[in-house]
Amino acid sequence: MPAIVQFIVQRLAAALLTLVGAILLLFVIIQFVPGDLASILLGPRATPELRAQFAERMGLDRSIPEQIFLFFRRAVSGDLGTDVVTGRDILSIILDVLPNTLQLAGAGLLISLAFGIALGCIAALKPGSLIDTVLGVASVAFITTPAFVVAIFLLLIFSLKLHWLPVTGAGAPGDPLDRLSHLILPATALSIGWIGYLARLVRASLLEVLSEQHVRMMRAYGVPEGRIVRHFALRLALVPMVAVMGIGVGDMISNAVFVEIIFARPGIGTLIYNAILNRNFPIVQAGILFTVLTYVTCNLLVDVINALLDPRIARSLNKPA
Amino acid sequence: MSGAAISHLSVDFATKGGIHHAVRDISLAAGPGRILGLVGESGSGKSTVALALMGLLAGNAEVTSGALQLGSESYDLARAQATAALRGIRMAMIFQDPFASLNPVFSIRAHLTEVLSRRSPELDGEARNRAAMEALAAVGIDRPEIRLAQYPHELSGGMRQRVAIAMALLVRPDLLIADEPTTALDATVEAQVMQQICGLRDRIGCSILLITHSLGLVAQYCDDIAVMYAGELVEQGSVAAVAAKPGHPYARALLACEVTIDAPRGADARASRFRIIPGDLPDPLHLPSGCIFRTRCDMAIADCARIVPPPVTVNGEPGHVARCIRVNEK
Repeated sequence: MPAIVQFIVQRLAAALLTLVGAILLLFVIIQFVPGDLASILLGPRATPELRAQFAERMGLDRSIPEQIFLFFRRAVSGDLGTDVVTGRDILSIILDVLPNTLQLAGAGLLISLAFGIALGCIAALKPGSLIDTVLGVASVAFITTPAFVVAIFLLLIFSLKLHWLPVTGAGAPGDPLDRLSHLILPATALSIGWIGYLARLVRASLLEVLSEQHVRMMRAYGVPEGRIVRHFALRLALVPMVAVMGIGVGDMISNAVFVEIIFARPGIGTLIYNAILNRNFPIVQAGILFTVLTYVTCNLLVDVINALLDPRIARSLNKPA
Repeated sequence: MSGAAISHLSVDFATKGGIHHAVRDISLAAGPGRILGLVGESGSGKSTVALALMGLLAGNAEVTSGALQLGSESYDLARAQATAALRGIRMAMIFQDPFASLNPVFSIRAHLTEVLSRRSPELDGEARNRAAMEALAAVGIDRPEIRLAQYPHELSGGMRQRVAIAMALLVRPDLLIADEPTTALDATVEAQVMQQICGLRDRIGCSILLITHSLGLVAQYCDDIAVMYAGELVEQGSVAAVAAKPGHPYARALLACEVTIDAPRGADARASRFRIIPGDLPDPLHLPSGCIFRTRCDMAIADCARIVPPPVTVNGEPGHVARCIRVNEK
């Protein structure tokens, strides 16, 4: 089996374990939430018969291991149950809002990568210069400002004061331009911290690579400096950055919750948030399931990209310990 | 082609303690098809000479004077980018550590074809590929078509150094600089790599500047030798002449340090092994007056502190010079 295929299979197995672990953890946490689910959802005046009927329908009368087993068995066949409040199919509720969150996180990722790599390269090519110092200070400021603070300020400045961009929502479904204008501010809020972080990371990693002997070797063979940086050094310098982006995606998704709330954007974040406030745990479970699924998929992707970038990675991980 | 000659090369480093004159007025020549061994201790400035020629010195270094004569052209090394146009065309370099000198995320093919895209831009992809394969075969790598697709980490150190030699071979340079090409390798691999370097010389007839601290290597493979000490050249000449009668006390001491491998078994090992030169290199910021070696020299006299020794022909042998005022005594 080719190294890369073996690598992907191993990663898939690990991803599955992560998924199961996250759901187990979620079930345990729900057990600690005070109050009986039936009385919270049905209200204090529900009759005992009604509560018993509800508990049976939700599977609450079964043991926890049984509940977990049932949840997974149904989830595998795409059945996440029906929402008690609206009576809608939970899967379709999730799939309605999931694209909004994916677009937000995806745009945040793209902005972080584009600016982070570019600024990191600029700083690394002139270490110790004024621009390097300015970028260094700016990066730290970016990293230390939480995404929701950035979101509030962007909203105040660009939407409420300057009226350049829309305030809330995700835009009209069929209008790409409208959706894009609704995406700019939240995606920027999401990416600011990562721009700073990636700029630092790329700078350090590129500086290190540029001091390595194979770069001097390329210079000794007259390879133009621009090509050495862009083609030979950057590819090597991006390996640690891509590895970190596995965590970055997770951070984007969790920060998307705040950003979606602030911009009143429909998405997985707002969905989970409202479901938690209503103690609507089936929705919370399904929402978390998809969040974890997204995270695990992105991590898998990151691992594969890294293995393709650096042939040593797939090989070293396949070696028997 | 008439080989390569360096004249009056001086290099300064700006350090916190002040200006450090790392290389002072060095002149060397390597005829076409000849290998010149440049030897000296660590810190003697031999690698600085190589990097100055290639124009690859660190940012705090400055070439204050020096010229490179390559064939009929002369290049002023004190000018910025003086030899930039020669790199990968008329000059090539093999570095010390083959484990670090290839980019780990690029295939062997990418390394070789990159060299060709500068040296022979007229070749198409197919022809480059063929040339790369031939170069690998020429340096004794078997199954070159498989090796081309591999990455540096899949090759042994000796094989990586041969890839570096193949890169140099593709350049067909007039001057090849090999900076301690075998220091990082096993003794058995050392011989193979040196044979490939000699093979390259035979194939393209270039001059080779071999930087090393191994006199054994120089004795075995070089035609000429130049001995550096603390940034200055103290002796140069043909290997045969210098080995037979070293003129400078430092060169003599270096030769005495070499372990005699053909000493009879059972002979007292302590008698021949681990001879060392007492003392250390002088502080580069506070060099002694007169002769730079006098503080460690067992022959130093009062005049050595006053007179900067000029090059003196040793034994009447043309081309064999040493910078010691007591050369032709006794």
